[in-house]
Amino acid sequence: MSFATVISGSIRELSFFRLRRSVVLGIKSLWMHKLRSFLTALGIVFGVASVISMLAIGEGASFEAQQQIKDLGSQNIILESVKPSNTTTAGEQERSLILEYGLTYKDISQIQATVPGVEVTIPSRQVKDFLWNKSSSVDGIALGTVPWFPMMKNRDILRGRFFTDMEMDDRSPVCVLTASLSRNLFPLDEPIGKTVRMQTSYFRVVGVVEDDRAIAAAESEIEGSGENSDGMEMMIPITTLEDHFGEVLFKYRSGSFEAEKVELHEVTARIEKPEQVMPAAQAIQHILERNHKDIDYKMTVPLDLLQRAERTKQIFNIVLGSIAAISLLVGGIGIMNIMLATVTERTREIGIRRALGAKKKDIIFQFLIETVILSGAGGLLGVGVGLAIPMLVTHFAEMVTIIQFWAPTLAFTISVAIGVLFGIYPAFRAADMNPVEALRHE
Amino acid sequence: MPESEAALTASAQQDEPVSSSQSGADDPVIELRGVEKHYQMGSFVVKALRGVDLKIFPGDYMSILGPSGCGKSTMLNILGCLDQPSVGEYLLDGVDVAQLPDDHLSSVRGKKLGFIFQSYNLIQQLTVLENIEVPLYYQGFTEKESREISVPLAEKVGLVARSDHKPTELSGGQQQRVAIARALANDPSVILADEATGNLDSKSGGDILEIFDQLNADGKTLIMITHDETMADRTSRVLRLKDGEIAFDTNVHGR
Ligand SMILES: Nc1ncnc2c1ncn2[C@@H]1O[C@H](COP(=O)(O)OP(=O)(O)O)[C@@H](O)[C@H]1O
Ligand SMILES: [Mg+2]
Repeated sequence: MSFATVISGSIRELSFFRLRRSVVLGIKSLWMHKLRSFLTALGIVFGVASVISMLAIGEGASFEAQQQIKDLGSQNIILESVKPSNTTTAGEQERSLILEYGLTYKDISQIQATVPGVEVTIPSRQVKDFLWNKSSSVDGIALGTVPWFPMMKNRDILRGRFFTDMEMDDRSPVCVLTASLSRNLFPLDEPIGKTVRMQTSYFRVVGVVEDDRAIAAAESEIEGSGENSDGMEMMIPITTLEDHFGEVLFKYRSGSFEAEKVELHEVTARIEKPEQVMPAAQAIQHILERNHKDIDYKMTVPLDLLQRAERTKQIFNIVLGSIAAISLLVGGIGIMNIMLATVTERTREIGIRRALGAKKKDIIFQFLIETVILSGAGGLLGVGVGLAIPMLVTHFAEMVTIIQFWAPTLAFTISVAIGVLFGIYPAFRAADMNPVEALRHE
Repeated sequence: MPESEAALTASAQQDEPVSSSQSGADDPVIELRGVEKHYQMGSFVVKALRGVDLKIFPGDYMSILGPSGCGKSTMLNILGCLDQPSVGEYLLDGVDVAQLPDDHLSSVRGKKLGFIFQSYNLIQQLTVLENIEVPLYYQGFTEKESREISVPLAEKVGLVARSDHKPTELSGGQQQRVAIARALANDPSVILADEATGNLDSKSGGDILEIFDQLNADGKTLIMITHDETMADRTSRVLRLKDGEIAFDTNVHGR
């Protein structure tokens, strides 16, 4: 008697009522040994629960990572100036004078001239100092940049406007505040039209721009880190910045002045087409390597990070899938083991049923249903636990978890499939018993 | 496989009107022709039955006697389609069931035969009524139809008050009465009992035998294995087996 015949036969005779009675019967038999059934199903419960919760946590983590990367702009290449770690090559005598490092206008013009696909570049330069509104102040940054900065960086203008090309050409003393700076300096009144002071220069506020999402996210994670000027930005035309603060920046640090000369702190290159991003990154790398003796810059390619994150996620999913498969396999073997014991234990019952007119396929169906009830109940319980765990994780660990609707569906389906798979052998063993011998069984 | 099964049911259905039209009592409900049963025991063969010829007629009330190991149970198992003869023919209601495939044997058991065992053989997780309904379940009766049959049967064996009890809550005699009700559920042609009173005290055993007498009086064909000569006295026909052969048969019909 082949499995296909049995199944097709069962389906042919399967009415809803018959199925319902088989299920009721199966539950009665399992209920006879409540603890044993529960313990048997537990393997599946843990398997299914771990699949769902691990998927939800993994999905949440990678979503967060991807979101942060996407906020950087997947068509952007971000260059930053970094103070070189050892300045020996710069020469001993220079150390006492002015430390000169970082990206230059020369870099930018070469990048724009030679790298294919570069649509636009967004240079910026910054000065760190206190920002004042009358007598209240905050430790912040004056960020000199270009009018197309908010558009290219996906930053919404919340109030007013950004500064214009004309204002940049005119080197006007206008500024746009980030939302958090605006909240700090002007907690009660309207910032637009007011002036903000840094050192001896005054700037008129023309707009408020939203905070950098990546920084906002990072900040919500590290709460209450005191000295944090991140995000407290006043954006002014880069030309204005040069006029007011000069080329050399002085810093007073641990009792001595440090002078730095940095032409540009950050340059973002926007690439026209996604497929041009990686070649452009390589070309830019070449240019920078040629122009800089020290590694005094850092290049970030969000698209590259995104692709890496996706690969990591794939590997994670494969590892997860294998662990899940193993745990479900173990659960299935546990079920099969108990079902084999059950079949032996109920040999007499099988003999009775056969004597009273049960066909082999009736016996197969009965035990298969029992196994599926066991694994299905385990699966259902597992889905419940598996949905609860991510919620607890989100609640207590404040991690993002994402439950995709297919995850519990798939996990439950697999648990039922495991019931069928591991129930087949015990069920056939039961059906293949000789009725006479089964009846004689003690 | 389904086609031949349909053929069997069809022939069984056709068979009944034919046999009843031809002065029904003359046609045996059971006929064994030269039935042998061999068991392979390692290198040699045990012959549990050695050429049994037997006709059992509707309404027969027959006891099978004989020393232990003479082949009584073997014969009953073959009569009950639980086992198949190694050699010979077995006609049940005129249909040769000796070499039917397994599924068809199940159908035959479920439709035409009722079993009563020495150790009652009730299903522990089911109630009295549910036990009675087991044969009906395999014949595709609905729950409602089954209830309509099982309740009167429980009444007939005096266990209506215990309808929802589990077997473990019943005495041996009560359990055997449930088994009788179960054997009657499908209204079988023949009821087979293998030492049905063997595990019971004489009082309960007597109750069971009274039910048997009543069933036979109602026209049921009953075949029972027993050790007890006094029980055999109640039956209208006695068959004695010895070493797998019929040693004696009081064929009251003289046929
Ligand atoms: N499954 C079997 N395998 C081998 N021998 C068997 C089997 N069943 C019965 N026998 C043998 O067949 C003979 C008849 O057995 P059985 O019909 O059970 O006797 P009874 O019921 O009259 O006591 C015995 O010798 C027994 O050992
Ligand atoms: Mg015996």
